[in-house]
Formats: sequence, structure tokens, C-alpha cells
Amino acid sequence: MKRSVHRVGFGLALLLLGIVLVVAFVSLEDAEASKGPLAAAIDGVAPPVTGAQNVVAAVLFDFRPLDSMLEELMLLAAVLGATALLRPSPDEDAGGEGGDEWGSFAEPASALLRAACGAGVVALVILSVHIAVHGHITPGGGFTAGVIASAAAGLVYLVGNHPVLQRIAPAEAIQVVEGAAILAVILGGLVPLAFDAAMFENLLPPGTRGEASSAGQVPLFNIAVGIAVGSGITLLVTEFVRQTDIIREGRVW
Amino acid sequence: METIAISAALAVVALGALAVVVSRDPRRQTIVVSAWGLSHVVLFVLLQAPDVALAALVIDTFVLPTITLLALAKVAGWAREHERRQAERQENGG
Repeated sequence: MKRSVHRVGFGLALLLLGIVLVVAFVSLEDAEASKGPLAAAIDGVAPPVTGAQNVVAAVLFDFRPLDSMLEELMLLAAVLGATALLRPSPDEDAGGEGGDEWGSFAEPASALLRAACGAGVVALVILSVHIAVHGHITPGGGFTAGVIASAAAGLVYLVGNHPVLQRIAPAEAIQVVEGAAILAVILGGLVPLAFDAAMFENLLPPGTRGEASSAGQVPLFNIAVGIAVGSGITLLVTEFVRQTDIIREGRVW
Repeated sequence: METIAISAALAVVALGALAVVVSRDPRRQTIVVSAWGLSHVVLFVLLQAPDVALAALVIDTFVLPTITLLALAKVAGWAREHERRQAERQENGG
């Protein structure tokens, strides 16, 4: 009784949320009308100077890329911390060689779930590439694209469990990709120093506003950050999944 | 119209926060938190912040519930093991 009440309540809440979302999109007014002085100032400066249509991307990777780089390092520190804390302790059998046994306890996913998740993985990967590459034109950017890409890895776990994820994207390879992407961001910031410019100065031509290859370094940083965030969060989820799998297997305890 | 919509979205966020606090079972609470995150997405859309809305959408529907549920599964494993060991100890003692 109580359970069904909860479910109906949750369903009603989601329905209400859907209605509000529709109302939100319908009632959106012209942004120009409600723009404050700061927004007007940035909007007047950022697109002509940087060539980026998306002012947020211009701020992130042209006006304050150093902060963005430090944000990536923060994420790296978080991933490192989680990986260190979740590493297998000596009494745990991490299943280094017996990793294939992990899948045995889980019920096999139904064909429908597998097909839906397969389609979902393809859609998410395409969406994340699109968002990363067009981050300087449309809303989104490296961070969003990276998280969407890691959601694809989450879908793989949903159907195939940890061994499949480990086979498609081995944690060791993701670690290397993560490090390389963050290194690319840092080196990308150092390159302008060789040309007598400031760190992270946008030396590439701004190009035509609204084109895929515009805004100089902004799309390049979007791609690098997308790879760094995507591999970082995939690694984070993989570590948690591995730990939980060890427990569910019941071998450790 | 926009003012009304923003007020409605803020009310939904407030109600969602109440729902998060009221749910007692952590597993269920994770799902409620996830849905509550979606209400923020509506608010960000209304406040014309699509970048934030996109990031909040993925974080709240994937990263947060996944990591929380996996951590809960780990803790549940500990609790089960603790009970099993206590039961064994009692058997051996008696």
C-alpha cells in the first residue's frame, strides 16, 4: 500500500516536472530583453575578439583558460584519490587473472535491454563528439561532452557488467588517455610562451564566427578537455563498479 | 509569463528538496535526488543558462546516482558480512 503510494507520488512528480519543462521552453523570452549590464558587456566583447559564438566557451578557454586547466587538475586529483582509496587491498582478490569469473554471478541482460543500450551507446558517443566539436558555437563544451561519453561507458556496465567494460575499454588504457589529455591541455597552454606570448594566449586566428573551425584554440581545448573528463569519470565509475563486483562475488569476505 | 514559469520552477525545486529529505531509504533517496536534479535543469533553461543545464542534466541523471548506488552496494555488502560473522560467532560460542 505504502509502496504504491510512493510510486504514484514519484510518477506524479515526474509528470509535473515534464509539464514545467514544456512551459519553460514555451515561455522563454528573447535573451536580449532581460540581459544585465555584465552580460551585455561580455556579449559585446567576447564574440568579436575570440570568434566564438558561445560566450561561455570564450570565457572558459580564451579569457580564463588557466582556471579551466586547474579545474581539470582538480578532477584528476579526485580520480586519483578515488582510485587510490578503492584499490584492492592485499586480502582482496582483485581477479587480475581470474577477471572472467566476475560475470558469472550476474543475470544475463535481456535482448531488449542489450539492444536499447547498444543504441544508447551509439547515440551518446555521437552526441558527445558533436557537443565537444561545436562547443564554441552552441551550448555545451568539453566538460559536458566528457560526462556524456562516460555515460556511454555506464550503459555498457548496465548490460554487460564489469568484464565487458574492461574488455572494451581497459582501465589501464583509459588511465593513459586521461593523463595524455591533461598533458595536452597543459602543453597547449605553454606553447604560446615559445612565441613571446602569455600562457594560454589565443594565437590561432579567430576565423568566421559560427563556423566549425573558428575561435582559434577554443575548439582544440574543448576536445582535449572532453577526452580528459570523459576518461576521468569513466575511470571513476569503473573503480566503483570493480569494488562492488568484488563484494557481490562474495569471494573477498 | 516568464516570471510565472520561474516561480513555478522554483516551487518545484523546493518541493523536490522536501521529497529528498522525506525519503528515508538511501536507495530510494538516490533516485529522488536524481529527479530533483532534473528540476534544476528546468530552472537553468528558464534562466537562459543552457551550458549549465546540459552539465547538470548528465551529472544528475548519471554520475551522481551511479556512484551513490555503487557506494551503497558496497556498504550493504559490509553489513551483510558483519551479520554473517556475528551469527557464526554465536554458533561457535553456543
